[in-house]
Amino acid sequence: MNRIERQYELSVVPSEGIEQLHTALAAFWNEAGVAPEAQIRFNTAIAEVVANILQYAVGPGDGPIQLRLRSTPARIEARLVDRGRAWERPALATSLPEDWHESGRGLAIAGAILDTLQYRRFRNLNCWRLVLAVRQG
Amino acid sequence: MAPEFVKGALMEITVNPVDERTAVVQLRGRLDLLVAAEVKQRLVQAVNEGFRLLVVDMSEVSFVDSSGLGALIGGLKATRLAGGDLRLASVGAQAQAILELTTLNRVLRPYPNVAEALQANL
Repeated sequence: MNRIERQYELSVVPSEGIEQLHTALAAFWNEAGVAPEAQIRFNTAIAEVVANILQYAVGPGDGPIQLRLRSTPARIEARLVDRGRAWERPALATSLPEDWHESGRGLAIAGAILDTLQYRRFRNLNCWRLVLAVRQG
Repeated sequence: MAPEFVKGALMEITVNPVDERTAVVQLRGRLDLLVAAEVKQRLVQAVNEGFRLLVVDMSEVSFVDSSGLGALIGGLKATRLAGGDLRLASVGAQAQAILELTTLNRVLRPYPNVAEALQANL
């Protein structure tokens, strides 16, 4: 596996930002040589975090979301930075709702997949860090 | 914004009647927050039109997020209220993974293909 790092910008317009995320991930995996199963897990997790940012934090005029993807032999890591409103208490430890609920699973899914899911507010920035450890062999 | 950019984000939804109580719903694209409300509305509409068993053909769904799962749950609830069922067929690797992770595969049972989903008893 190569050790690579790439930076992307995601529009705060949901239809554009989601499309750009999937395009960025496809380009990154093309270079990174990560196992398909890990790609699926990471894609699933980061899509939930980005969806939450687009739905609840950012709005028109906030400027693009900065995405940095890094792959090493031991881990896949993403850092997301946006200028949206601060999260008071992102529900990082939220457990999954019951089967019949139609919403409320997003960050629980991300948290269940990732080895690290961190949020912090730095000045006027929301900073997210996502880490998936890569199991060798 | 380039037209194909928008096109890529949209989902095609086709409802194909099998008989007066059964329909196969073909989805094409990403089943995510951008299309979840539309998909749920179309599933509920199919139930209101009289279809009790909906088989959702997932063979051309490239990605499912939590909003997409919510749409499927919404459709499942509508069919169950009508005494029927909603079944998934030909689920891809990513969709299978998110169904297992959320344990929703217990209620949204994936079938290997449309024919087997149609044959299973209500």
